[in-house]
Amino acid sequence: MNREVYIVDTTLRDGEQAPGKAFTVNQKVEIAKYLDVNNVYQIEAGTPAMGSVEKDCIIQIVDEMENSFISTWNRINKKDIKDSIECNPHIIHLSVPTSEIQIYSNLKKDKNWVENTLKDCVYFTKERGYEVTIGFEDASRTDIKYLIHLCEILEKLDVHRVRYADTVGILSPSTTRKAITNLSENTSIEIEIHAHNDFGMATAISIEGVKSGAKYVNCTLDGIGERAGNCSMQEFIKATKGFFPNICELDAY
Amino acid sequence: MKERQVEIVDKTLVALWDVYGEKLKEKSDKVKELIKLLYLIGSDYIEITPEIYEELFPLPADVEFRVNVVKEIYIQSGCDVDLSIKINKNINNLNNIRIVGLDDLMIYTYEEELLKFMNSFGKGMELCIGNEYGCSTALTLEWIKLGGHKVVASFAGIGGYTPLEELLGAIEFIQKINLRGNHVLFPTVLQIFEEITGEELPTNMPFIGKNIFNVESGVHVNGISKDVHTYEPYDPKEIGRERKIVIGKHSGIKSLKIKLDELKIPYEEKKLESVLDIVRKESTEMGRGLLDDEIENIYNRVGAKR
Repeated sequence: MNREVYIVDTTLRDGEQAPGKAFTVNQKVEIAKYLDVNNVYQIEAGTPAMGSVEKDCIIQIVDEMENSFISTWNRINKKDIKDSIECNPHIIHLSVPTSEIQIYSNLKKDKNWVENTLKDCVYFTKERGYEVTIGFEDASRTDIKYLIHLCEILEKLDVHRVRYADTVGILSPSTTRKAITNLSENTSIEIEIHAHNDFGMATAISIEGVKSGAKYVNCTLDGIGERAGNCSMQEFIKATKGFFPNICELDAY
Repeated sequence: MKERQVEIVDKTLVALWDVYGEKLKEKSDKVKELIKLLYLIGSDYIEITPEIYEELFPLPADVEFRVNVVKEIYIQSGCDVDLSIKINKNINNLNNIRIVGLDDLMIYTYEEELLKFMNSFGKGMELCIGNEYGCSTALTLEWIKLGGHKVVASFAGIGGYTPLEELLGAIEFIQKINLRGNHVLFPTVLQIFEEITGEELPTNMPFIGKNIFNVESGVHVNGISKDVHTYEPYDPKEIGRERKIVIGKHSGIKSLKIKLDELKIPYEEKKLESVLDIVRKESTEMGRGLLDDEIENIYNRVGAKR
């Protein structure tokens, strides 16, 4: 395919969320350097709201990287965003729950609250000069019409990219194609695919996601992450190099 | 979803022999136990060779075995499908064909290509996708969605085949097709498989990894405590596991409360922020989650300061 696909690494955020996994500050910086040297497009470096150790680590990563964009992960609340701003990343990523189960059972809020809070948070962040990307948490269990509706709101706020997260890993290639095609045909926002490996299909879902129009793909080194993990960057690269012109092998580490 | 019968040919035994060969001779009792279990979790036929048959004789009763007499057509890449069908289109017994390989088919228009096979060779053919690119479960599932009937797999994907447990899980939880297998036995199969190979499998493997239902992230523990469906694709009990809360760098107050309750430590609410701070720092320094006694120790230390 004659178009480029960009890898957004989340080893240091979703990858590290694998239970019992905690990188030391030095390890996180080392991993970030490895990704940076390999020209990985973007590094999701962590969640500043987790506290001072994490923040200091992200600040060091922002400071030392030369090639990759650095982003931070946030819930839709201003406290999280302020923590992120202290780290001065290139991109601030806001994760918004979109499925009914996440909105009603988990947050115990409603769609109005979600939309208003999202607008407030995007405005707040952009006003401070940051590029904002939005993550649709649990998108694969969300009515696609609602996601399109959220995209319309976000386009007005000048947001350029949304993450379609298969939070519990239930997509298959054909359902991925249906969702990503539908979303890209009905919005002008760029799409990022975020897959989990619960059914051993994270790589296949990611490949089908980018084939169907997603321009960005979330990966972790060795596929580490919650439960059975995320899409393995090495496996994704192995399968797609030669197919997308800018995808190439990583150096050994 | 309309119910549709799927037949799974299990290559675990053949793959074990290919990889471990002679070493298995002294473990034939365990191998026989494994065969019974593979059948119980949902494999329809255990593929066997005359050599293995002789080694293991007598074979376990009530299990269906199959000696591989199919004509295997190896296709390396998804771009070779048309050529391969052209070469093989005059085969007489279409129920006797196994398409093998196609590891990279995901990159191509896989549905179109799979339908070409179905139209040329009929539903009686077997599909045996290789897992070089980690896409075999997904492709096999799509084959089943298209009406494909016979598929090949091996436990834990040994030998580079579609991992049996992933396929069984995807058929049950994604396709919602009820097969006869009992998936609660997955941990038992894993244990005996590891005893046979002498190697421990990664703890995050889908369906059989020992840690896949451990949960640490504060956001996730919080969600699961309100409704387990928020962050679990299926009930861990369905595959013989239980969820376990791990306390570490990513924990939140809610996780800590649940853990302290679990450890029967009565806690003061106002101490928890400080406890969590120390938990995060120590977990980061040690590069791992904390053990129960370490958590208790931290809680008591914070208490002593005040």
